Amino acid sequence: MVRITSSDSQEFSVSQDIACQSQLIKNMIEDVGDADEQPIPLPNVAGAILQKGGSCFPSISNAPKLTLFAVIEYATMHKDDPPSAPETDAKPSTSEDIEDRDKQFLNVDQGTLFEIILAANYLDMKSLLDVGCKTVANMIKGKTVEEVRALFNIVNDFTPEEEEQIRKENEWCEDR
Amino acid sequence: MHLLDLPIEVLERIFLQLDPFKVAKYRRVCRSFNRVLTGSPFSKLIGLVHIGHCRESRFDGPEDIFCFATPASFGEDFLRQVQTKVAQSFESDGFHQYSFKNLKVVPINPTKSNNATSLLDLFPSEVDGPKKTFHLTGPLPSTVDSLKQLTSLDFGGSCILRGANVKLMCDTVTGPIPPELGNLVNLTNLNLSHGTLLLRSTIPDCFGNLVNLEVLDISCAMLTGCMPASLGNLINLVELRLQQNSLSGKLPDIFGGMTKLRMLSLDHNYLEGLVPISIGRCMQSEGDSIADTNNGVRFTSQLDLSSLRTYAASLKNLECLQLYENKLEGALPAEIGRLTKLKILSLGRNQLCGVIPDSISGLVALKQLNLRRNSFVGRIPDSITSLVNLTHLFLEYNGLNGQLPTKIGLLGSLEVLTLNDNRFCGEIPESIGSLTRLRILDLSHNQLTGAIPPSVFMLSNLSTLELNNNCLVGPLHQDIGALTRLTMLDLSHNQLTGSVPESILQLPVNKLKLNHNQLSGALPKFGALRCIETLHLDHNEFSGHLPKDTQGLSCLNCLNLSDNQLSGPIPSSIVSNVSMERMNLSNNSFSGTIPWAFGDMKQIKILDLSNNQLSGLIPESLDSCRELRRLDLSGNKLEGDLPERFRTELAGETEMKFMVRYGQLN
Repeated sequence: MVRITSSDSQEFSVSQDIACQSQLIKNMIEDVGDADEQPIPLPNVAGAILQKGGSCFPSISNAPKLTLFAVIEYATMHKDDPPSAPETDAKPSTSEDIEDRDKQFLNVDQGTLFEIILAANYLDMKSLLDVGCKTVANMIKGKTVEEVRALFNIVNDFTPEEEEQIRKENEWCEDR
Repeated sequence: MHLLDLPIEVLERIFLQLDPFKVAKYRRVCRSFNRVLTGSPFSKLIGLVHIGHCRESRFDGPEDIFCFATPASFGEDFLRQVQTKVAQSFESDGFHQYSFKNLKVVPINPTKSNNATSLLDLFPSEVDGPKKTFHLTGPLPSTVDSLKQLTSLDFGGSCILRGANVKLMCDTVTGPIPPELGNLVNLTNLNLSHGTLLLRSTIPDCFGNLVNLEVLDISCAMLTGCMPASLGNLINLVELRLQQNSLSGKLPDIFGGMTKLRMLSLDHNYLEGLVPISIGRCMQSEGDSIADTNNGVRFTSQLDLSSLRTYAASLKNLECLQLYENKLEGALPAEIGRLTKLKILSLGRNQLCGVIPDSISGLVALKQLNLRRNSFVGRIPDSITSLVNLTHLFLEYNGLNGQLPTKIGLLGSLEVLTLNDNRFCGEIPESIGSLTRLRILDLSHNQLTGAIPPSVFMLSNLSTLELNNNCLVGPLHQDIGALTRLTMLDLSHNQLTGSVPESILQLPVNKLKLNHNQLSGALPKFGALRCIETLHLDHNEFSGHLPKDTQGLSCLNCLNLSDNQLSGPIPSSIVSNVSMERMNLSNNSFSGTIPWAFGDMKQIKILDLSNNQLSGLIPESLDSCRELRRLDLSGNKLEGDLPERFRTELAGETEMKFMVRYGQLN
């Protein structure tokens, strides 16, 4: 078991194989060495986020749902996965190939989704980050510029001239 | 939490999941998006840009110019730069009239092209530099469907990029035909021929959407599956080339609307079933403006000609019907005669039977009629003589019988007439002499009787005359010498009599076969036949001595004078050509010795001198005839032993490499 402490000294116990899906934690364990009893500090992750409803990690303090718990849940779900092969150019992944259980896992509101992605990015969990990005990509896919703005509540911050210039440069790929 | 709250590297990761050629359009969403999508790695995306036509290029005719562009730099500045470069290199200002709005763009395989930016950097300077070849790999991107204005897409011969001296190879591009191509509704020309990229691909059903297509060429592309019926929508097609694939199944009924079709090539596939009726409506061409070969229907598959009965009316504009070497069965329908514009009818090497219909006379435009190697029976209809435009008539290897049409001479355009290997009887019609353009006349292997009409010898354009294996009688006419272009004359296996006229020596023949007749008198002085390669005068009744002036026949490699009544010595000069391969002088009454010079024939394979009156020693020089397979000296009065090599090889247990008959030795 690995004990993880957050910046606010909350402690979590997870098995090593689950915790080590985070490259960040894995590196830390290696850094700390054999000190089994020594808890791993995660100074940038507030303890509350390790618990459902937590709100201590600044950028995700408004998360309506537990994020890190979800992350641990994901890691538990994937603990038996074979180690992912190094990315090769020969086999490009597409945004289509998401496992059903992951689809279900990420079937959450936009805010939570982004928080999970953010946590995965921080904890350096490549597979979770990938599947999260694919999910967002699938939301964008096939939409027009205007639809994308509406979907993510993005404000068009271009001047009309700037937008026209981009439109021109993009003539080859714009919808006609 | 908001999408834009995610760090830039995460946004980048999201966009990398999207199709590279569609993602660029999201630059317009907001500044953050634009920043990500114009930075690395997206700046390396490339598009292939069709700059336009070079009207006054130094090459012949208009030339298409293409180049690469990245989305980031695909602005007017870049284009102006390229145009200037191209214009300079072509010493022409023809490009400036093209604004970038007219450009056509093909994005090619963005994720796989290494060094896209360096490709871009290279292009302008390479236009006037040495030839530059770009290699691409990977599948054709499905994003091609965003190029709605595209009018031409040419992957033929594995060359995508034409123009200037830049060539883009896609010989390692693989994968199926993207169905999205079917969205390029403005395409007029789609050439995917010779594409290894299409390995095991099928023709997407949605190609039926490409209603503006005039040329569809997916030949030699390893296509499989059926031809989709949706191709019937392509009513503007002029050329449809799908030959040399592995298409199978029934040929769909797609031709009803294709009134502009001029070229249909489906040969070398596994198509089967009936030729659809609608095919008849697609050949509306008129006049000679279109070459015969470009206006044909060619299949190599199992097809049933009986449907011709139904659609003959709609085929009335067809100029060329080539169904050579299929599995056509049954009779040739009488309705064939309604194809009044037909110039070429090629049904050879099938299993057609029955009679040649009288109605064939309706094919008034016909130039070539090829029915060879079928099972036709009965007479050649007399009505055939109204086909005055006919230049080639091939009817050999059938079961045709009866007399030849007496008015065959009316076919005044005929250049080639091959009726051999049938069962024709009666006499050769005198009128054949009117076919003054005839170059090849083959009536061999029939049952023709009577004398050869002298008019045959007025066909001064003849190069080949084969009347062998018939029952022709009478002497050879003196006028035979008038065939001043004849290179092949075969009158063997008839019952010709009398002496051979001197004039035969004027012929420029390289093959002369008069064997197996009853010709008599002196041998023609064949030393005058300077081009002769094969001379068969055997099995006749020639008598007298061999001519002595034969040493100049440097091409002669096969000489057969056996089974005559020739006598006297064998002169050394008979070895006219050291490359002689076969010589047969057997069953005559030659006397004297075997000339030492026979040993000079280093290539001789068969030498038969048996059953003569030859005497003396066998020349040791024969030892050097290393190619000899058969040596027959039996039935002579020869003395002494065989040359050493033959002795040892005969004595030894070694496998006989040749056959020797020596006969009685004293």
